[in-house]
Amino acid sequence: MAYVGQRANARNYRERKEKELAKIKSYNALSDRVLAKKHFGDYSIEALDLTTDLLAINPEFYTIWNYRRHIFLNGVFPKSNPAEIHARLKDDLEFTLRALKQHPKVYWIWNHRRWCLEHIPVAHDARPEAQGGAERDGLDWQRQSWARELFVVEKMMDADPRNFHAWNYRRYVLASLPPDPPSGDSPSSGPSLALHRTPASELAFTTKKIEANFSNFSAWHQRSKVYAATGQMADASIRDAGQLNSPLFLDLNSSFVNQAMYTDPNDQSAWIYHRWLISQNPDPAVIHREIQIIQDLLAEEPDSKWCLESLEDGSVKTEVTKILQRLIDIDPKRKERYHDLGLELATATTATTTNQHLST
Amino acid sequence: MASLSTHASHCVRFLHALSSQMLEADSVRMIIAFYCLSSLDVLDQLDAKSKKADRDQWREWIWAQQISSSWGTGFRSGPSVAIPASNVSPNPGQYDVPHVLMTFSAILSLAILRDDLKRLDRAGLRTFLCRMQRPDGSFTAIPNSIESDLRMVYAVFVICSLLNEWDAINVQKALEFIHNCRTYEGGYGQRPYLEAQGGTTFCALGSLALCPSAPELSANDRSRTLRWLCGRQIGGFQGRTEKGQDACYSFWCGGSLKILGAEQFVNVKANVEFLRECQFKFGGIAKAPGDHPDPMHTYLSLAALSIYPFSDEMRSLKGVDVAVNATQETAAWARQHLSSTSPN
Repeated sequence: MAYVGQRANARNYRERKEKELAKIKSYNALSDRVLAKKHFGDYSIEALDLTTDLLAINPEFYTIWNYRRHIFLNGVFPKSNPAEIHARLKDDLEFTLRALKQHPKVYWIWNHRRWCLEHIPVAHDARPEAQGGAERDGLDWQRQSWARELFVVEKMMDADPRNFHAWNYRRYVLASLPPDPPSGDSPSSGPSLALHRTPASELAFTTKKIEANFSNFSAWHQRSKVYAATGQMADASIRDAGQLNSPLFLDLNSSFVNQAMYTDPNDQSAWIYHRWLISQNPDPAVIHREIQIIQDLLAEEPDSKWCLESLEDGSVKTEVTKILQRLIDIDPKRKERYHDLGLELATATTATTTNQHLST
Repeated sequence: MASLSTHASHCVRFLHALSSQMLEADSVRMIIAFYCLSSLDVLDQLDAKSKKADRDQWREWIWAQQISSSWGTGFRSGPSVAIPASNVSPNPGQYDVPHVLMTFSAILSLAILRDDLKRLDRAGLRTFLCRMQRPDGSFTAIPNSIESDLRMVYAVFVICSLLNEWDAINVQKALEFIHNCRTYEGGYGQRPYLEAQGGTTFCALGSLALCPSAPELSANDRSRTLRWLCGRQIGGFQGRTEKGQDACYSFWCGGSLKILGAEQFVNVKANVEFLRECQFKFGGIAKAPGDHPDPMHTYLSLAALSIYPFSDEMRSLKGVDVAVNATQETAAWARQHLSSTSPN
């Protein structure tokens, strides 16, 4: 029996090997053909189709993505009207989406999607029938594709909320959106194509993600980027004019961040964000108020090391020594660090380094 | 606990063949070779676990990946990315390009194997490093690419440090890029705007430590970075805020603390307890308890144990030159044979 089994195994192995060798030979022949066409500047449809075949097998062969784009630019597009170009690019977006399902991390596939999105033409033919709706400014093709892209990347973020490549790609998509439709116009059917997010709506997006999971530091991080982008950090005129209903002041003056700290004091995310928030506006009154809030929390949760750690950074010298001792007791894993901070304190020239510590 | 030397066999196995589950790793074979050889180096088991004939063959395999192109000279990941000679397409070799991370891995691997490195095309390598730099100071891994980040900066800085030649690149621009990757958290993201991450924080701090003209971190910045790094230890280390602990960060974060002269802040016992659980009973160390082991996590865990030992056996591991990411002996060998001010 064993002998029969061995023979069958050996035969299976040989067959598999032969199949593999045939595959390799066929792949090499295809690759050869495509590279030859590339070398001789072949921008025909036949060449395009061969790159499709090759990239379907090996999407990491980045040279071939380059060649495919050259075929579009030099061969196919000059012979096509905007609707045909649009159709080709939509096909490529579908093609790359299928490839991403099997190869989600291949940079070249994402790169090619970007190129396709950035090359979707304006619809010169403004007749309603040609655009599938009321006459528009010609940008609806772009809006539809960018809308879908936002949908795709947000789906990825639902699957993995900490995927920082996805968060980053989403920032790129938001920054690349075509202008919103002229106000007053509305398409005859389909969802709104007004895609731009206001800072308020983007903050609401991060709020939703954070409320789904306070540990999602990527969402807290994005929140800080939204504020930074609105440039309201160092805008003294806003502060001075007492415009306390600006989003930044809302975060400082609302209970949103404090709520996260209270709900799970052991989660670092809210604490790191909180520290950044204070550093953006080191107003002594605000600092004093926040210290009070943290001390109240500490009274309820005497073993909360992040409470103590935050207080250590913001309190006066005498308090800090006590705090450090408490931290050594409850967080012995980090006792060397706390000991070191104590030594730093002893040699510091003044205890009023609060602002220094909190400034970025 | 079983002896650490059981992990040597895991790496030796991979040096001879990669399993079919690792098909995707085929395009980074040179990096895998580096992690395997490095593990054996740290364990001081390279000679014991391999024959001279094998080691000679490995050296030849690595040298066979050194390629010159119109972009300069470097190493590629392995023969599978080579473009075969052809009757149909002229000059297919132009698509055979060097790769920054593979070049870093190749040079250190050759040093581990105690190659004299005379075959290195220094002039071509300098050209390659120069050509890969982008206007923002970062480096791409390969020509004609736009994907660039701190990992490639680090690999380039190590190479420049070993060559002891910094004039092939724009150092100031690269330092600017590193600085732009720094976040308010105190760590460094892979690129500007991204969250701080343990691996790229190591890349930044290692680069700064190796570069003679890099400024020191300000006291405030250093304190902030220490705070963030210390906060990553939750037993083992996590790579980002509120992610799970992962064995490789014992090196990326633990090594970063060592670079900053703050190794006393690491809780050695807690770290060892976690890494102990990551061991696979048949050899190799995994990212987390219960996962499959791999050469990268094996090497980085062993390197971390070398920096932060908790037993006599760990204390007998070879010392690590943290910024170079190789044993001290290997780093010294590389410098001795590559440094342009070396008497050799």
